[in-house]
Amino acid sequence: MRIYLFRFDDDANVTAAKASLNARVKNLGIPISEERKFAGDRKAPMSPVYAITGGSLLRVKWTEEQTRVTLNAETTDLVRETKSKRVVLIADFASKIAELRLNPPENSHTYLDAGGRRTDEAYYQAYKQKATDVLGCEIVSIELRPVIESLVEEQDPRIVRIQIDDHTNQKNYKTKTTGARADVRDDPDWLLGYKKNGETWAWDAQSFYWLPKVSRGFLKREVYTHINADEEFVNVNADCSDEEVEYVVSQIRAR
Amino acid sequence: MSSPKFERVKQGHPGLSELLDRLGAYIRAQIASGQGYIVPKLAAAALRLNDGEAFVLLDLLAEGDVLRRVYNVYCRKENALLATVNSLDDLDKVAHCDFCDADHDPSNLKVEVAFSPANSDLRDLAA
Repeated sequence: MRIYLFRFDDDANVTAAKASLNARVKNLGIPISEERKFAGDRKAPMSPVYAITGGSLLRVKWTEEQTRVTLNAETTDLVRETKSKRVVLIADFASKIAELRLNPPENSHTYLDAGGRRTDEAYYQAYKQKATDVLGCEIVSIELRPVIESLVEEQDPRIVRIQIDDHTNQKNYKTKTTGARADVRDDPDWLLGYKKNGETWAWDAQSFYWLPKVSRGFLKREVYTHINADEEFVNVNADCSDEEVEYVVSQIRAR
Repeated sequence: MSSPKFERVKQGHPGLSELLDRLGAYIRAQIASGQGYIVPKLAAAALRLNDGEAFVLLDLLAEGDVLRRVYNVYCRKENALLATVNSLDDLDKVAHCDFCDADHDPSNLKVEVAFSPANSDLRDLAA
């Protein structure tokens, strides 16, 4: 699941946006509810499921069906599988933050880029625009490079086990270090470079596991997360519980 | 030696003078060490700014004709630099990717904004 983390733009009139939220939600055809609902069998792109608008919090859910098309190498037939997609927008007008959680797209969907090409990015962009429409004000992605930098620095105790480090140095050389079941910070070669030049590295992306023993009981297992600072998104595994995702998001926002 | 255009940008934004000086020193060091392009994320890391701040400062220098905005085009899969182009329109002319042995669709490319010296001014500064 891909997660985009936003904050409201500094110039956004959040009070006005919140005041007109219910009218905007109704205009967008999203049924207002007081509780979460199952998506059901809605098939059309961006089918609204519900919007919970009470207090300063907002939660909106959409669903749609997409098709995964693969080739059966033995029969050379095309195999089409229908897959449900869920997209959830969560916002807090008091804290001026929002997040958008999306299942990854399949290779057959309805979203086209400006050049008429069907791309994953077009799917993500369409929902980001829809989120902006619902919120009624501009949102900006939070910077993820400082988050990665902070997670690398935090060693006592370690909050995460870093499996993959991906950074660019001041000579614009990109370096990717991968550790199997280890932490790249335990690799002497990586550590040598980090101590000498780490302060000037641009942190591009990291894959890591949040460690349960320092989670104050929130996690029962290691939870995988990939932060892509270049493209401003976070990935977590599809089998993550809502509580695990909330822990990951809160930890990222805290840095 | 000082660049008149660089000084004009500073005069136009006196509140940013100190930041621009730090950025100027960084640009000179990068050029002196053989770097042809100034990448916002690297400038941000070196100067302890965020990406947005670094970009705005570099763009101010581009508006002042000290720098020129360019686009580094990478193969999304291999993260390899394929070309540097002067405008987004030129993306369609990006050369064959030798790493994948393919002519990539734009969706398989990654574009990074960078800045290069607009003329000899900054190269003089680096001398």
